[in-house]
Amino acid sequence: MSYLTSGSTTGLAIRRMSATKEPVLDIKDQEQLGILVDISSCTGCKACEVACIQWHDLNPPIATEEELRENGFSYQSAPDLAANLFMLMKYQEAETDRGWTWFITKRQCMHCDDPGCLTACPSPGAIVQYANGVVDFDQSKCIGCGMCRTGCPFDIPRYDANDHPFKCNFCLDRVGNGLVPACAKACPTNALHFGTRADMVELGHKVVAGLKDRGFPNAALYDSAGVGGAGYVYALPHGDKVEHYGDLPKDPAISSLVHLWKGPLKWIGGAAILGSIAAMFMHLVTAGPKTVEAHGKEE
Amino acid sequence: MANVMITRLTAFDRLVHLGTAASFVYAFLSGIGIAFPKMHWLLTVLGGGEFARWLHPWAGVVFSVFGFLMILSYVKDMFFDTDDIKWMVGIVHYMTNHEEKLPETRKYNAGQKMYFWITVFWGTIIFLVSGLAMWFPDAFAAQVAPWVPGMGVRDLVLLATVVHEVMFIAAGAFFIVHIYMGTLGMPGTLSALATGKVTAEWAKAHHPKWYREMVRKA
Amino acid sequence: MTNGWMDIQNADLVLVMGGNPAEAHPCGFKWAIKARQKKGAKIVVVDPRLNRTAAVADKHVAIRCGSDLAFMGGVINYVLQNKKYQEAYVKAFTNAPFIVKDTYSFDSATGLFSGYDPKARKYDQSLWGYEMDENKMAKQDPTLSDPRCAFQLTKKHYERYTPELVEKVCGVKKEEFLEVAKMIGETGAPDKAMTHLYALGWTEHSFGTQLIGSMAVLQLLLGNIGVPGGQIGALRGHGNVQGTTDLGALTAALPGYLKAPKAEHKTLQQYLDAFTPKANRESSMNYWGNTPKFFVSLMKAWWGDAATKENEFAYDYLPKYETPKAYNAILDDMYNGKMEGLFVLGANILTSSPNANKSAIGMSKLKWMVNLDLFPIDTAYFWKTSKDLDPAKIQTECFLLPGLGFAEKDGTFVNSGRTIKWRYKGPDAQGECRDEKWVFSQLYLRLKALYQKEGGPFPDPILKLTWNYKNPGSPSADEILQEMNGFAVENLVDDKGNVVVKKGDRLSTFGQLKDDGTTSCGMWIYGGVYPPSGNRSAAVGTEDPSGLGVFPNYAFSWPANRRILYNRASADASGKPWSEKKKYLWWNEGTKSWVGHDVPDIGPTLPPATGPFIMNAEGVGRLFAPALVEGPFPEYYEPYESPIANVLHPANPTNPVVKVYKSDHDVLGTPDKFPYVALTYRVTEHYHFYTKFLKGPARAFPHMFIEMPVELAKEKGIANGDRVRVSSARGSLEAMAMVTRRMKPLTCDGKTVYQVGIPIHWGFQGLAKGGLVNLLTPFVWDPNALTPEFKGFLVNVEKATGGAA
Repeated sequence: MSYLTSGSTTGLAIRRMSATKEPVLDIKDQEQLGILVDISSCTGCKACEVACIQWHDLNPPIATEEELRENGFSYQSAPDLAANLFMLMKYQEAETDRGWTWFITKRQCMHCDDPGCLTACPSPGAIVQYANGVVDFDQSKCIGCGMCRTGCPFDIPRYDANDHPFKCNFCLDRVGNGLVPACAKACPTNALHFGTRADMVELGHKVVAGLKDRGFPNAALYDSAGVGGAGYVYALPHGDKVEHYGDLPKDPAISSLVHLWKGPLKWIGGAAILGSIAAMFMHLVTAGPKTVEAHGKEE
Repeated sequence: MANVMITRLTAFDRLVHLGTAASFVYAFLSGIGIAFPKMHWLLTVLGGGEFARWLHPWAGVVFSVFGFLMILSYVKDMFFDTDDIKWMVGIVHYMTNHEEKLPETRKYNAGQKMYFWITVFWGTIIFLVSGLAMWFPDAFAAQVAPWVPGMGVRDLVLLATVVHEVMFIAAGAFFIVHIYMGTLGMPGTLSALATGKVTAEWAKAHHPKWYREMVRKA
Repeated sequence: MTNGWMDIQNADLVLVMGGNPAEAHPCGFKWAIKARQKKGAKIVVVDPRLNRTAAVADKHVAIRCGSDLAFMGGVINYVLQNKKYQEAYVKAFTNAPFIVKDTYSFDSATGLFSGYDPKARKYDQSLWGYEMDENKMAKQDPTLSDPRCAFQLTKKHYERYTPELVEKVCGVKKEEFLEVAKMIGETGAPDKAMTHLYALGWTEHSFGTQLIGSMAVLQLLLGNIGVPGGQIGALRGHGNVQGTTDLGALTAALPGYLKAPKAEHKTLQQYLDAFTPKANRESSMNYWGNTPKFFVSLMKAWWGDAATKENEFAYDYLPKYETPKAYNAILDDMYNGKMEGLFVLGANILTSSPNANKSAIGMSKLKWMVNLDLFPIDTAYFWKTSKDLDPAKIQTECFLLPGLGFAEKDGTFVNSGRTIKWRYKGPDAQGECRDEKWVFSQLYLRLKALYQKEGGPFPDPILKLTWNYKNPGSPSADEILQEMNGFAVENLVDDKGNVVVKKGDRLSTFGQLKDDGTTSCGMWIYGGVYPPSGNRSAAVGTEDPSGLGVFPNYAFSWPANRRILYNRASADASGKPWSEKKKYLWWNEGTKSWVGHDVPDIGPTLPPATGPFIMNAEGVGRLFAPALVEGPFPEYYEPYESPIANVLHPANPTNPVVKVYKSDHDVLGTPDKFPYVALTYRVTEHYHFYTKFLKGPARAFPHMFIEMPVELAKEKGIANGDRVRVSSARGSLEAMAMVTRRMKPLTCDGKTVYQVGIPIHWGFQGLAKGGLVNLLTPFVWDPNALTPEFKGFLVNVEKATGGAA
């Protein structure tokens, strides 16, 4: 199997790393990269999914009928994302103000500005956020604890047999060399736009405004404010039905439990352990050991 | 009275204790290595990050097995009585080595009983349950789903992580005290773990009521 | 396509009816999306399913499969009754003013036109012409008020197609229909245009040609032909299906849509007289009047020096037919044991032809069968179709030759927009894989050697065939494209005697072709693709001076690198653009010539009075089109298997000129046993019947499935994902059921109609296996284009009872 190693092969500047002080290196700000998914132009053809598989040399299995039934049989090609399937097209249906609607959504790592995986990861340097905003895993530093998926508000990382996590790396090897990510390159209908995040947000607002003019009053930009914005931005025709878009979370945010665990609990825990050691040391020095002799003396 | 040895722990007790001790120490240290980035090096010492992270839950399993045996074999001596409450109230005398001001203790004093209930009893249960939740989140979530509607898998794992950590804080702090008391803090204690026997003086000094019971029995 | 892919972006309204371009043409569909992204065009989909195109459309209307003609009739009626048509365009550029002979009539009670012979199931089409004046020109009434003029006849014919009728037949609510009709009607404004996109959703009916004819009537009424953003977009299937039809892979056609000679055409002159039309309107270019030039040049390309004036340019070498043998006849003959052998390439005909059981039985009666393909396709293993076929008893000798994929050889693709694009070979061939040119050259050379050695009753056509290739055993695509382009056999001189093209030089345009044997051209419509300056199909210029997506220097569009056909119609009768917005080609009074953004589709200096539809003898477009075999006006008929009676004329519910096959395997189902309407279609993940052999696409959609309405599933106790058995009068198969509200029940003629969608891609060969969809489909064919009726046949659906297929 091929582990996707990061920094060393791309030579990209790193903004922050898991379990490591920020900033890793004080460098000039770089433009954050982004992809706008214009759902209103996406026909769900899976060209992106196939391109992703091709570029990353993945070999996901052919799903069985049973597996396809698992999460409700639809046009979806596999029951779920997998360690060898970094992105998945999801197909849902629901009633909207415009009648029965087919919700077709590309799901993959969002590349959060404030990545939950990176926050939750206990292993220094195993999760890396590059200055261009791409969040990636360094398999050589991963200890396989699974906290990245737990910390991810979008439930993205999937694990191989060794409990190593895999996900979209924004085609780091392509974007690092001035190429468009494979999915955006393959999109035949202009539904995927690639550029700087700022430009994508701006374009997204334009698409949403256009949708509102076209009779989609609830159109909205899905910009993951709870994680400080994300590399992936979605223009949703039905912004009031976020959950139908491939189970996108309504208000994605890193769980307060992650912050509790990585923050106060660490301090309390550290204090408790160190405090106990210090207290015992103090006892030894001041009161001294409880020897039998000491007792005898008293009697 | 010199050289008179009293059996404090049977071979089974000692086996159980060594089992809990070894597994707990490994889980404790690897847990620290996982939880505290600054202590990440501990994982290297314990066999490498990936290995230690892998072994940690298995150490937990071992701890749980021995923990349950320990609960079964130790629990009879671990119930509190009124003397224990008095002891707890006057614990400062214990800390300042003025145990004469405290009620005489049986086989275990109130502090040891608390250690038992928190670290061994609740530790076994809570570490196991929260650990399993982190280890097998989907299966676990499926089990608890009927009980906690609306609880997602990730919420569950996070909750388990927090619980695991809180338990770690409580058990870990007690554990430090326990280690100290078993070694530097109370010379002569470690032999109980090694041979099962303590000197009569030790017994008389630290657990006089138990000493007298043993003498009576003898 | 009358325009092309990139022109879709100029549309104001994109009507998708009879196709699902997001699914079948995802790359081309981007231009529809672009039309919306750039100019706010609307996309409207009329389709039985809420499909991938409908998922991104502005409006989707669910319609009963097979009822489209009633819908189209309704729109035509709406446009006529509400005066939404572009009157000046209709008057100047269509045959609306033409007076129709009084031998033409239509009986709305029977649904039959005049001249029907029920025994032969044929019309006497000669009854449907125009009234002629003494100069053999059609009589006209420029005011369009004569009750016998084509305009009034059109109006009369379609007045029955009321919104209420549409609702009754199609299951489309009147309000919804009127909403769509209004949107369509708005494109009758001179500054608005509608692009219509269709594919097999319209052709695969027993009245497919009439459907497209109905759209031609509508688009002509709206003045939407010949202008940017206005077209009828026939979206072709395979990468090069346009190229194969161009080259004559059609029934009764020679390359370049020349007609093949019939047995009755004993001499060249008889043939030319029969197929060279005469103008029947003043100032009609009547471009088919040049047929002798195209035909003689073709004969020169085929037989070179052996084609002389004296031997009628080798006219005798050509086979002549009595009845055309199309695809349907081949399959039927095979079934009836009338064929010895079958050579299959570029097709998996077992899986893609209707009534697969019949095809498989036919194949089992052959002496030999050759498949030239990239994969071990189902056809090559036809005996696996049914348990009734015992391979031990089948004597067919089968060969499977390893072929080459398109990326493994040089050549051209001709896309739906008629653009001929050169493509370069990618990877080298593996092992002993060979391309078709090699295979057929080897066959030819061996046949020729046999004729040389043994002689025969008529060896000349083989022995004298032109075969001037550097490597006769394996000609290059480049040589063949040059041959199609044509060259001068002798020096070509102009009126003053100057040599225009030297002997042996390639021609620059089909305009240089001669009927005296001095030019050679293998494919007149491709004339100019390979001028002396080089291969224009390989050109990759990316300039778009007009900004309309014309790209004149990118590849080569036949004819004459014209990107929009009939583009003279973008200007009014006086040659002025209809609107500034749709300005494309116009008359320059100063230079007395046509100028604009494209190659004029008219003699460049012919005056504006010249009709824009130069391939019609009239020079104008036809509302009244007597050339189609089932009548000059498209009339609504039901599919051969339908859940309801024909609402307009129950006595003749179906297309009366369709050939009816009556073998044991040609059975039709009735709604009592097979109550649900079925249609077959593609999914974008797969490419017909060949990507199932590849892991990537097989993974993307691995299992055969059907789409069915929630309400039907509930009635049948079927849950989403269950295995179901789908059966028709001809066969049955198992598949997973996708239960969805994207398929909704419709009410037609008071009955609830459920529709079942069946994607086609699986079979018993390959990585992704599943039922052979064409076990279900009927052996019923459109009488003009001979396309099978895959849309709108009857099935039953039951929950599968164990025994996975």
